[in-house]
Amino acid sequence: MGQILTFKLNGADTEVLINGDETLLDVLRGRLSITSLKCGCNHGDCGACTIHLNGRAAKACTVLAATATGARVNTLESLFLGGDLHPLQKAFIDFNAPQCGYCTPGMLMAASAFLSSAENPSEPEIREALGGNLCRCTGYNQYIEAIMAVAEGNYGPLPKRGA
Amino acid sequence: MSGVSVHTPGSLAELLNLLANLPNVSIVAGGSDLVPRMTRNKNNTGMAFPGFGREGLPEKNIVYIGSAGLNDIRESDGNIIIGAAVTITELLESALVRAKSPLLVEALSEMAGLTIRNTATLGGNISNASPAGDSLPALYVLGASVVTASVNGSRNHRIDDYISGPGKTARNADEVLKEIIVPIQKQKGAFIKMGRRKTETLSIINAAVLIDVQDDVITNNELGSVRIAIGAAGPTVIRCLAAEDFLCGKEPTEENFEIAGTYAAEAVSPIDDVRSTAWYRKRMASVITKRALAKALQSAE
Ligand SMILES: Cc1cc2nc3c(=O)[nH]c(=O)nc-3n(C[C@H](O)[C@H](O)[C@H](O)COP(=O)(O)OP(=O)(O)OC[C@H]3O[C@@H](n4cnc5c(N)ncnc54)[C@H](O)[C@@H]3O)c2cc1C
Ligand code: FES
Ligand code: FES
Repeated sequence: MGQILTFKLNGADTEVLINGDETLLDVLRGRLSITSLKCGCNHGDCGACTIHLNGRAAKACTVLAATATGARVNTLESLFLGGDLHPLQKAFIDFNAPQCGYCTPGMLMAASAFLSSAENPSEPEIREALGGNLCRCTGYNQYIEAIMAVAEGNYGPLPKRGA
Repeated sequence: MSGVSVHTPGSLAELLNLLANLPNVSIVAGGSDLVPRMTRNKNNTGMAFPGFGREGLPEKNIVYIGSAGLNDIRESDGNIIIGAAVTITELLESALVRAKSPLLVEALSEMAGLTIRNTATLGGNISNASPAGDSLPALYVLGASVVTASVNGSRNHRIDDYISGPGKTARNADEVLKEIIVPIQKQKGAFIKMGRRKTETLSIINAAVLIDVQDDVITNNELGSVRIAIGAAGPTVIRCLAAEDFLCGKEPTEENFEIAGTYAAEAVSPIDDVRSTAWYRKRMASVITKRALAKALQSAE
């Protein structure tokens, strides 16, 4: 049985026909062709599908799409501010953080949500915030160093939460 | 095409009407337990949650509680009242909960990881009734209760009555868990979780303790009443009554904590599963009991 999901996707009012048993990951990738978020496990374990749901990081494969009715959903695409890379994206490039890149969109979404709400986070706090994001290429340290550099202000000011 | 319809009621009254009238209903809050389980069943892949079996295809009607206005955290008559749709992150950010239920805060900070905590609810953790649910030992020792509601009215349940077995609660099909009542914490508490890694992992075993320090431990050097609850080591969370009785009135020494640990190991009835073995869990029951008691007293000084 189809139903209509109405929500705000990357700032734009969006309507899409969905099935009741579809997750937000199914709908964003399968129906709206937003392939930046990945399906690593489909069970909430890996973080490759991390998005922002009402301003907070969430795993799209654990959210029933229909329950996002009226919600603000942001994907990696929302981080391109007027065509410029997000400070985290610049840092990830500088620190050679991505290897195969499969986990990278999820890392960016988890890190950007966390940094927009945390004041001067410590390294352990950053590690804790990314605890739900697995990297099969195991390049964790480069990610953490890049995020630290952004948190320390080396890449300029960050957009605050609420987008 | 699937036969699943999701309903997003805009009020509690509407939610209760749906529960009273729809056939084959499942409730969803954050979805972090239910949705992966649905995905597993749908694709017929992977393992079902240990102890839950494979339940076949999902129910036909799913009712979402997040839009029904159950989002309050408030204080009333010596209790903190938590709406069923409140997320773990919201609880951890609440000044009220941080000030008046430090044990709950300690337990919830060890649950899953930040991203899952952003959508997962306390009501969902209780309703899922997993023996390993990380909020449960704290709720047991704090003497929490839950309120279920249907079109016919509300019922109160003590948490240990409410959870009746792995995945089983006293909730009727037409009821929703509406709110959780947590008495304000006056005692000193501690929670310890042993997982296979630091975040996003279910407990191998966990324990919460609560020590009454109204009889000042420092001057009298003896313990008031003590409560100990251990999770993931039996069909439900287990209160270790023999250990509690033993400790009451005793000096808070390492030897006495050691003996309490032995009683705790006798009280649990763990199983072998994907996360650990019964053998290991039984031994760790005594170790984490001892550690949790010491940790609680450290916070008492
Ligand atoms: C990667 C990962 C890591 C995890 N780590 C942990 C962990 O460390 N510790 C831990 O304890 N859990 C963990 N979990 C399990 C889960 O996140 C928690 O149990 C969470 O609290 C469930 O809440 P929810 O709102 O997402 O529940 P949902 O999935 O929405 O619901 C869970 C169950 O409860 C029922 N339900 C929910 N709300 C109500 C209600 N108000 N009334 C009646 N029934 C209701 C649902 O029908 C369903 O059966 C983890 C899950 C994942 C995916
Ligand atoms: S695909 Fe969602 S967490 Fe792995
Ligand atoms: S870069 Fe390959 S999975 Fe992380």
